Amino acid sequence: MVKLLRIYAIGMMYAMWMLKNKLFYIYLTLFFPISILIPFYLITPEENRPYVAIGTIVLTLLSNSLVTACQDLAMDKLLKRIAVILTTPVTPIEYFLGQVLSNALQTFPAITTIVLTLYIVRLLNITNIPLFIAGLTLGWYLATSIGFIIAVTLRARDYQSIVIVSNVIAFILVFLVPIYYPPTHLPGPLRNVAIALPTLHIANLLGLASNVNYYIDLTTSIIYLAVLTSSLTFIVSKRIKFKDLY
Amino acid sequence: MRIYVRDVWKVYGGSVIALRGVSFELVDSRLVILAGPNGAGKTTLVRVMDGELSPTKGYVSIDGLSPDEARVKGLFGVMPQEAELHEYLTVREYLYYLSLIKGLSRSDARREVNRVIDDFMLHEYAKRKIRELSGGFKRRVLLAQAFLGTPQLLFLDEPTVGLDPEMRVKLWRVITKYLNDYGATAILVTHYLDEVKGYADKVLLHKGKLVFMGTPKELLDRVGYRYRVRIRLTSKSEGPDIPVTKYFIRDSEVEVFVHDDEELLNLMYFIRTIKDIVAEVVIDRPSLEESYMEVLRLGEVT
Repeated sequence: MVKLLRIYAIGMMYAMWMLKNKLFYIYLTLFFPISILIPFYLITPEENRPYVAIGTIVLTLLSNSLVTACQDLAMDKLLKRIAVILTTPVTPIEYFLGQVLSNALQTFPAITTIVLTLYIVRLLNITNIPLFIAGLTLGWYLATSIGFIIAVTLRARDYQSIVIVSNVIAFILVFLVPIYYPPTHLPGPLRNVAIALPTLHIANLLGLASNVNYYIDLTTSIIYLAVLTSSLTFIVSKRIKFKDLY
Repeated sequence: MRIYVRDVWKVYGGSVIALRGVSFELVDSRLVILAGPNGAGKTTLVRVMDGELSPTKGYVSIDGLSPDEARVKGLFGVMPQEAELHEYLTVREYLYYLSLIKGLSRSDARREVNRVIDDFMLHEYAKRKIRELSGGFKRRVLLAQAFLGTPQLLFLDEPTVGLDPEMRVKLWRVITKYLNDYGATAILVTHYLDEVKGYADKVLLHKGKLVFMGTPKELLDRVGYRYRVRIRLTSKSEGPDIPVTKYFIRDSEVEVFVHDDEELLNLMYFIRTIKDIVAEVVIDRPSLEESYMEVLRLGEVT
């Protein structure tokens, strides 16, 4: 049975690193996404600027959740911190949910700030708040799952390899998928590839909640995300042997 | 507590054999020393016993449970040989979160953290970030975390490496007091055999396979003598005709290996008869380390 107090402890243990490094936290969660937002905003035609807003939110979600989950595990392997955790009664799903919580503590203050900023400068007009929150929650959970599975799957203990792979995947999921711009800008075959990637569906939920059209209906995205979320959770809880983490 | 290890093999990457059919049984032991040369597979054996690694062949049972089942029940406390701590946390935060991870309630966790901070003399450092501590103090924190939750079985892999002799003696006392107070068992990997021989009730010598298992006294007996007497003569000479079977003469020093008390008494009488040419007599007991070297040299299987 999953123990909530254990998940809380793991979450706090990992989140503290970021929360105690305020300058790095501000850089990763605010400076980094906003520094991309500004040039994109300036070069994008006015009618497409809401896409830049959604892209910035997805980037902030991804850069925090996916990369951080991957890096935490890579650091655990590198420094052998996991050796202590492995000898406790913790299960893989508890460890994973702890990482999810840690990412929430790190991600949501930044996301809130970004969303409020975009709302105040009128780049974002949220019309369906529950759908918007559902999109953010799913995005955070999926990104953490993907990061976690990447770090476990990569057998290498080499911290740098894991970090490079996580950054490359995050880049592909954010910049090679039509999130910062309408999917109609992509040639047909590439659009079909993009629709298979989760970030477009997260962006679609956020877009549908704020009048930004990604040309995918809500049902398709919900079914896609529900199937993916269940599959990744199943993999983490049933297929990952905790011993493989070390 | 009954620990049963049966024909355990561990092969890494299909070719590197770390454990070669290790078998032994420990029943109600307190402190068990696991010793052996570097790279002999001691840490691998501990990691198989605490469930971190699955054996390639064979099995381990702890009170009838597999290591994984015993871990889930919180029976273990483990101090790994190598493990970094979460350095940005304070000592108290680290121990508190680990207590919760081990399954304690918030109030029990707070009480346990206070206990180990007391036991391991960490008061002054409890509010300091771990990264601000010296290597020795980090090692103490790593050792302290193994005792959270009052585990019944401790695996301590070289717990006192890098600590000064005074602190080592203090920590051995803390460990043995804990074992006696809580009726727990500790399997201790260490190279400081003589420091712990007074506390240990079993010694396992391991060199890929088990080469000795017995009490510290039985290990001492393996060295083949009970006393070593060094007689320094006043001048270099051929040396007297010593009335024991095993002795060596080097320059002006005679080294005599004595098997029992009666032989020692006879030797003392003899030394009196040659006192004019004797400058100094030193009597000592063989160390556990010497016995260890002797057993490993013989590669004896017990």
